[in-house]
Amino acid sequence: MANIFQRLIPYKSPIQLLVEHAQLCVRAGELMEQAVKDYFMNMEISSISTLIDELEDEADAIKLKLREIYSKLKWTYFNKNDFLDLLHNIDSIIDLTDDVLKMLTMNNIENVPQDVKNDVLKLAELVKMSIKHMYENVEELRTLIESAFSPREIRKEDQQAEVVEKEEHSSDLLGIEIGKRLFSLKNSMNAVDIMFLNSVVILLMRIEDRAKNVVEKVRLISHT
Amino acid sequence: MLITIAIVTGVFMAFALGANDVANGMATAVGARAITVKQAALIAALLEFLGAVMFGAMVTKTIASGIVSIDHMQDPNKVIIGAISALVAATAWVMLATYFAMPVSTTHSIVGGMVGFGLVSGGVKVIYWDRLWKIVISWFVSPVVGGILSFLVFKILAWTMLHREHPLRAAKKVAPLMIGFTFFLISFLFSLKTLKKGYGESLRYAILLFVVSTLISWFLVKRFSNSDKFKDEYDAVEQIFRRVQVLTSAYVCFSHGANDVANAVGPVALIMMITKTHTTSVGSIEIPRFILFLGGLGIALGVLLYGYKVMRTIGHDITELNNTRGFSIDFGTATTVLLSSIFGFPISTTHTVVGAVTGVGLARGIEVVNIDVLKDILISWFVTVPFSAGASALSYLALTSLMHI
Repeated sequence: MANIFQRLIPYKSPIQLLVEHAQLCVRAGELMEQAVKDYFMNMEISSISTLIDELEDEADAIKLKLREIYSKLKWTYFNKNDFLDLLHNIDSIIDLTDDVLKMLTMNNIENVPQDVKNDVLKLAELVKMSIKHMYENVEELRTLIESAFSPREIRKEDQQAEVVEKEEHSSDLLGIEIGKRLFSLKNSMNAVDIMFLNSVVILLMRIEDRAKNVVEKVRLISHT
Repeated sequence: MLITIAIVTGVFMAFALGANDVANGMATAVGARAITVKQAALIAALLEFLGAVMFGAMVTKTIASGIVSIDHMQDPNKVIIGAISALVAATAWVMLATYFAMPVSTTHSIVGGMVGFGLVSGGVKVIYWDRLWKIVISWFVSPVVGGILSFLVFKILAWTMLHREHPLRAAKKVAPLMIGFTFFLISFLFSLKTLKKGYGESLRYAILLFVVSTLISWFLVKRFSNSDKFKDEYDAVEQIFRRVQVLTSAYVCFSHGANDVANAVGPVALIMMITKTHTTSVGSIEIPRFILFLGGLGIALGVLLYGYKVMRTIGHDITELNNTRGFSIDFGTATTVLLSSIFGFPISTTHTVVGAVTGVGLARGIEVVNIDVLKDILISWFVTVPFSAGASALSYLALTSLMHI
């Protein structure tokens, strides 16, 4: 007969699963940055797209397991809806990176000025860094729980959230700059390519936005 | 012949108790890798035995003569048959439930068994209904008390250590005090209730033991926290409590032995008392110490020969259950069970554990509870008593007609 503890307490820690899920986002972010670089160098990116696809499947499996465990739990560290909303936001990051890759495989752009390429690359790098900081913020939840929601650890979470919020603001500004620059090229660059690249930029900004949503959610759940 | 059957069944029940329930006490320590399974089995066997012998008398008396009014029954042989029926019915139900992996309580089974034989042998009037109601209420109250205690202990640990700027520095002071308090509690209750000393004298002994154990553990904690390398301060606190948790796990085993020995030897004690006095007026007779010794030995053997295997199934780390949480659960459970033993209430250790885990969950210390387990427990509450009572009544009727008593 299973011991009562094994029956009362979930076999796998939900927070551990959440951290593992966020870790997959970090890997996806790194791959996406690499894909953007390769794309501008006219290199094949379909293999990277496949890898991100696999990461997405892995993330979906974790999400399902997490939902299953959470639905059976009576007392949880956080409000169940807030936690599932946090999971949804983390999950959408990996979905959006997959969208970026899929989009890049659809079209090859021509005659893009180097400064635009550099700015898009810079944006991709910023997004990657924000995902990484978002992951650290999620991982810090473990320490927060271990400390029984110590005010010191809550402050640390808040500081980490501010970093991502600032990064999101910088990315927004950069994204708008890239957009303006792209549309200023309407007479010299293919219009479809302009719209295409602008859509990629918007997707990248959306990932950054999701990372910010995650840290905001973490801040919310750690204060309640 | 009947006495031999009763003793063999009682020891078998004690063996089953040790085999199945030891994991309740040692799971947190083994799961956290604080001790090996072998060490856990040895510690548990010794502590279960000591608990049974030192504190088992009150609950044993409740089972033996606090549920059915033996004085109202004229024929001592009928009482002996009844006690055997209760024991056999409870043992059979526990075995059946274990086979189907149901979390039934041996306590509920034996109480049901005693009620069953009482009803068919003497009717409604021979049951001490007021006492029985108190016992039933204690089944509901004990998980709540366990929950409140573990909630408070965890909150105290959080406020005094985990929320401090330097949790390790705080843990060096708090952990020895917690250990000292545990010794204070056990020694005070032992002196007061088992050795029958007065409050003043018991308090003096307890304070002395509190000071000695606090000082020793302060020295040990200081030495340990200076020697090991830790990931961070919280890790250091957990590592300290990993050691302390061995003590609280032992405390759970001790309390379990004290309360649950009665489930195995309560009816045996009744038979022995009747055989000794040749009368059914056994209300004022003390429980023979060797009965508790026998029960304790049975539990200890169960732990060593089979409980060891049960503990090995706790193969994985119970990741969420770190040491400060485990400590809180163990302390809440053990204190509730020990206090119940002192007041003579036969309660379920497993259900108290569920209450204690829930308490830490409510304190936001752990994510629990699988709702299905709560449903299983509720079902077992409503099924166990009627079933064991019915089985006991039937075997009583069968045995009395077979032996023409």
